Amino acid sequence: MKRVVVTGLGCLCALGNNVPQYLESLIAGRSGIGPLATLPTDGLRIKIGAEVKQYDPTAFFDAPHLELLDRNAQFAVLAAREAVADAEELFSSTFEGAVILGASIGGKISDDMASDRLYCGDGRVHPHTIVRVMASAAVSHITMDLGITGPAFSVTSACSSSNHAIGEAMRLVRAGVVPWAVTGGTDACFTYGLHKAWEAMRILAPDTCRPFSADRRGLVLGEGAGVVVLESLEHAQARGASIYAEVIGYGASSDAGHITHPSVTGAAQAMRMALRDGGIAPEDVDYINAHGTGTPTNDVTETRAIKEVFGEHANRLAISSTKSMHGHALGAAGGIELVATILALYHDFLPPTMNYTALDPGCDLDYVPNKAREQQINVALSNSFAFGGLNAVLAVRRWPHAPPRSNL
Amino acid sequence: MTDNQTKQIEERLIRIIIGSRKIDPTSVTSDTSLGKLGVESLDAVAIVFDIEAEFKVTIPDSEVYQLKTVGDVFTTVTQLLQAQKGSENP
Repeated sequence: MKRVVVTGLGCLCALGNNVPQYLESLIAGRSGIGPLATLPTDGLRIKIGAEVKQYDPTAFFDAPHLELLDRNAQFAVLAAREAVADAEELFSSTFEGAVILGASIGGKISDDMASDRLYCGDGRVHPHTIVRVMASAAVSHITMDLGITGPAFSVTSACSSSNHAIGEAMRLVRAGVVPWAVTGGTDACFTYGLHKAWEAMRILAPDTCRPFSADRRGLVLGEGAGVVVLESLEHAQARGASIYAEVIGYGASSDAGHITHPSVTGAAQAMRMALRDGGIAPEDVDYINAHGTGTPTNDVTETRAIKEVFGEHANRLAISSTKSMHGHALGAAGGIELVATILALYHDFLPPTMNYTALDPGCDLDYVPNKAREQQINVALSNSFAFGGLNAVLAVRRWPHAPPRSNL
Repeated sequence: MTDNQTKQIEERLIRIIIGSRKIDPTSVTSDTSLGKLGVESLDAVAIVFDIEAEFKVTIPDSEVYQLKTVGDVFTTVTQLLQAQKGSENP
């Protein structure tokens, strides 16, 4: 069994188009939530979202290449390029790493455009539709863009897609199957149709995302990609790589309950498995990057699950939901949030839960409200709990390091 | 079909074939191979798709992968246009 460390980070989301911008926003408690700019909002009740901003794909891809890339694949390739560049000299020994990414749907925007033209336009379907829509396209484009030749596939489990992908990638590296893996998640789900579908479920907040706050009114959809380079410790040390953190545990469970309603037991089980897998006690955990969607049900269920796992220690550890800033990026959520968690471990701070206004008696723990906190933490969990009861939790440990790379 | 019409069709086809590629249209002749222009199989079907919209013709599946040069595309399209014209004026 090999130890698994993180040597590269890549991210773009509503809080920034690269890791330095993202870090700055997390520390500042900035909000990426605002009026929807990429959708017509006339027929929508909910007119806000957490979109990637100031984004011009032609700055990164030439025109013929772009014709093959849905927005979700663009995000994935850009985050992977950033993570691999950040890992420096990753390819010194081999290109046979893994690429495993989560995606909740795939090329949803291309699918929507194709359907619109087919059913409401001239009735024709563009021949690039399939390759833009397939859920694994983002992974394929990363392998081609970077020349990575090891095992590569997509993982899909709705809002837990990223964490399942990262967990499985971690197992491949841990078992020595591959020396490193590019992993995380991507999603770009802002389409008129999908937004209407989320609206119909009555779980979107009309104003902003207020996780764990008494007046929370639901989630705010987001988009983006979060990618990390996982590497066996021996491979990283052999090439003198600088290390951000160690991924020590992965726990996954299913509620076997309801298609939307989460269970305390399933969430608690995934957290316990991550602790056991990492060989740590509940008391070792200092911080949890919560699933924290801002829906009435999730936040109280997650709080109860944390209390069940951590007992009295639940009152001492810090919890925050960065979704209050970057929204719920669905299949990309776990990747974006793991990058936040690793940055917190590396730069000694706790990202805040923004927009917090009032105590809910059902959510009475320390959610780091409204302001980032300077604090050195040693072990953190990153939670993802998906619709359909599919839970995945990652455990990460601080890596002792010299003064950090700036990332700013 | 007059020479002028033929020339116009050829120009429109070359414009579609080049698409977003950075290629000088005047450097393209009927002998130019599609491969040389960077057109591989997936591009070829996208080009056929655009040609069908522009000229209101349907290119049969069996023809698509036989297209090797710009001239092949031109021949196929003009034949389809003429067949169409023939059927309109019996």
